[in-house]
Amino acid sequence: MTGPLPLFSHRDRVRIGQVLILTLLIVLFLPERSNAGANLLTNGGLEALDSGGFPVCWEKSGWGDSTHTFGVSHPGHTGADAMQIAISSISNGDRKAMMLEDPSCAPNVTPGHQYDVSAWYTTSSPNTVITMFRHDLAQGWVYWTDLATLATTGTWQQKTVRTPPVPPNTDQIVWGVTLYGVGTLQTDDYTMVDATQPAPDASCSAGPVCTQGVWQVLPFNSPVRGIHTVVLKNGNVLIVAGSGNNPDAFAAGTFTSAVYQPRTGTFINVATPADLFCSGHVQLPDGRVLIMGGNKAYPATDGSHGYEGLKGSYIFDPNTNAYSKVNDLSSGAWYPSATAMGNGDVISLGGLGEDSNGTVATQYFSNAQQRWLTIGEAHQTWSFWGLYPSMILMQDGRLFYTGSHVFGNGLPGSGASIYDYGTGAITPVNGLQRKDERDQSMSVLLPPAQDQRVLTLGGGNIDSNPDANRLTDLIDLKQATPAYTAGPPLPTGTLTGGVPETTTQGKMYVSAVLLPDGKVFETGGGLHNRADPVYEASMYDPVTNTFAAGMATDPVPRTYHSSAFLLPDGRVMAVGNNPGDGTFDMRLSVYSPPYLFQGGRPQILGIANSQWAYGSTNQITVDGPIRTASLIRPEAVTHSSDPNQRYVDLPMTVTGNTIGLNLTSNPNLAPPGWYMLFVVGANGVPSVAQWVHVG
Amino acid sequence: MTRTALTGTIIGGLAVLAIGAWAVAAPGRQSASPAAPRPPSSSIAPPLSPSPGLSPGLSPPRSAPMTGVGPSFAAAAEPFVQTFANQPGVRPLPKLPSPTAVLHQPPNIDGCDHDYGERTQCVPWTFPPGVTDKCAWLTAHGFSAVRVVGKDRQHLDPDGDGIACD
Repeated sequence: MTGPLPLFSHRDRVRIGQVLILTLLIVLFLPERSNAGANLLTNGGLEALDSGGFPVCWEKSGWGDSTHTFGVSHPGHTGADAMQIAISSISNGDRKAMMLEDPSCAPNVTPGHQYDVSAWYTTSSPNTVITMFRHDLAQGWVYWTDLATLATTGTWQQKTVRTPPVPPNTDQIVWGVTLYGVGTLQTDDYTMVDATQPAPDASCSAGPVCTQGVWQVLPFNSPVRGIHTVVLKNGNVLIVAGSGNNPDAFAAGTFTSAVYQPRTGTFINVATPADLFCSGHVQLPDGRVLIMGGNKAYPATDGSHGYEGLKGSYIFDPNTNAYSKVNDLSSGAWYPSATAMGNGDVISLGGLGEDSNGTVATQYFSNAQQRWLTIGEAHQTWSFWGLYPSMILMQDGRLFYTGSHVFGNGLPGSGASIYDYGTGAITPVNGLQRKDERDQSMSVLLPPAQDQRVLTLGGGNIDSNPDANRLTDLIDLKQATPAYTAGPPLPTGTLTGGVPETTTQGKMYVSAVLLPDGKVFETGGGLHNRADPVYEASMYDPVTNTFAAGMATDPVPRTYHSSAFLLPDGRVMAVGNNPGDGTFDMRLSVYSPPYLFQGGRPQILGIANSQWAYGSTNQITVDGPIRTASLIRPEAVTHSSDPNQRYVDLPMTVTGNTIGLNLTSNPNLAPPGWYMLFVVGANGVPSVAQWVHVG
Repeated sequence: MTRTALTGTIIGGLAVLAIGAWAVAAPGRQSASPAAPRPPSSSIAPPLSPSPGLSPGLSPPRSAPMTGVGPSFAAAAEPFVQTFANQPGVRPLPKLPSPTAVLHQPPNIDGCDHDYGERTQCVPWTFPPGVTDKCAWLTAHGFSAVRVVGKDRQHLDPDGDGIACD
């Protein structure tokens, strides 16, 4: 006779034990539930309606003149409800359904984190964009950025875009879908998840270069004086000397240019048709280089005239490495500006005319017609803008004169202004410090261009010849009435012989270079008119508005007629130096920033299409996690002046190693042309650039 | 209840407990509803200025409606331009008439005193602050046997031999 069966057999007890152990292991070792799984939005599905019948935590927003309706449509993408905006006519402005800027509705965010925001939508208008605002602890709610243009669709589609890293002092954001054209937009099932990539541990063990970077003086010299440099669409660098500030070469008709090929370290000499010394230059939309003006004559020894400006204009073609002539300017131009506009045209201002007097004509190059307009065809203000005035294209097509210029005092008045070519209006901008000591300062549109902030660094005055200053001025062109505010002072450096600068000494002849990690490398400079090089370099961070002092310094002095620019491989090249004794330094220096020592470089393995339309999403494949992506316009720089230098953020739609890069719909943020596409890995290291064509 | 059924029930229960324990214990939930002031309606932008937008001189256009419905259309978005920097109350500078006279710029616009030196050289029109001995400064900065090619404006050639600082 057998006894009663036990509740658990031996086999069951073994199984239960196995399950318990397995359960314990699951609880202990399952990875922390990622933030990536949590939808941070309240009522993202839009199913909870308020007493007015509109989704809780959402508001009807927008501005301008339009005939429009807001409503709730049925069914939604899922559930019963979706939000609908219909615009039947619009002359300006937009309409958008936004998350309430309310503590209980706006999602919390962490500075430095990135978030994948997503919505399902239908829209009959291509003028549909995801717009974000952020809550700044100091400023309150402010516009942040536009993430992506949504393609028209009659069936529900999902768009997911990753935000840039959240700026400091931000605790909440709101976002929504904006309609700014005639059509109907439906949206539903909004989500927002934390998509922050863990940063790998710092891996640099190379000593000081980890934090300072390193310079290398190349073992060969430039064959021509590096006064004007233009990075070309093929990665080569056009170096233009013309007569090279050498009247003897001018008298002999010896004008020179060369193309530097970084991949091989070789040069191609280029036949140069005129004295392009002191010209202006900018890349056209097709990648050719428009060069305007130059040097018609050096000053007469008897003082009867000064420098005289050429009326001639040429186009350099990187495909043939040759210049061709276009029609003349309407006035001579010695030290003219050159700004690429959103429609591909070029506006050139300032400089000296053929008679060495100030050029007051606005000179306008039509890209469509491939010619300079006559003086009567272009809108004229008859204003003198000085020499190499820094005219930066704003997001609405106006030009911001930063106050950075070459030679002597700034313009009368506040020294900075906004110029509307269409209306001819010039409105002053206040706040620039010591505007008469910003000679050969440098201004840059800070990364990203979407932020519309400009930094002006240093400067002096070759007439009064004071010690160059440490001033920096920052302006936010998003403000209703923008005004410069004082930025942190430039770090001090050392003078010849290692003599440290005093606390009030800074530098003119500054070079500032936008880097693919979104920082600005400033280097080179001098204390006085063509004298006293300053050995100092620092890294400016637009996010924190701080300079990291103590970057490695170029061992070659870089004062008058020096420039620095970004190479497609992520390094910075510096050329030129023309002190008062009349010599010219032909050495070339290349700087490897600290980011190149922080680990492996991400690879752009493929680009689906290198022709990018405005408002498009462009697929690339990469080899690992990517933090950010950007387009950087190749430089065309001389005399510390390149108003076209810009870094355009590309919000990402991430699907593993396939990334959609969302390009702005606004050509004023990224004028048409060839750009260097960089991605930055989770380790902060940028890729080598690939070239894409915008517009 | 059979032993098999009982065993299954226990396993299922443990699994539910495990999932529940993980769901409760694992971190990652975003805390809700922090305090933040509600701003004035910052998403309401001011009227568009008569600025050129994409095409200088033209206001941003607005398209006709898309009439088709279906998968993606190839229509391009118009530029989405923000209404920043309208400068309310800031008066434009007075318009200038077409000039009737030239705007003279001095021959020494480059800050160099072309009375001295070779044509490639730049003796400063104004020496830096604190320089009391201009000749010593020139020597220290690479100048030698500086010719006086114009007027001795800076009195660097007291012996009048046409060579400064000798």
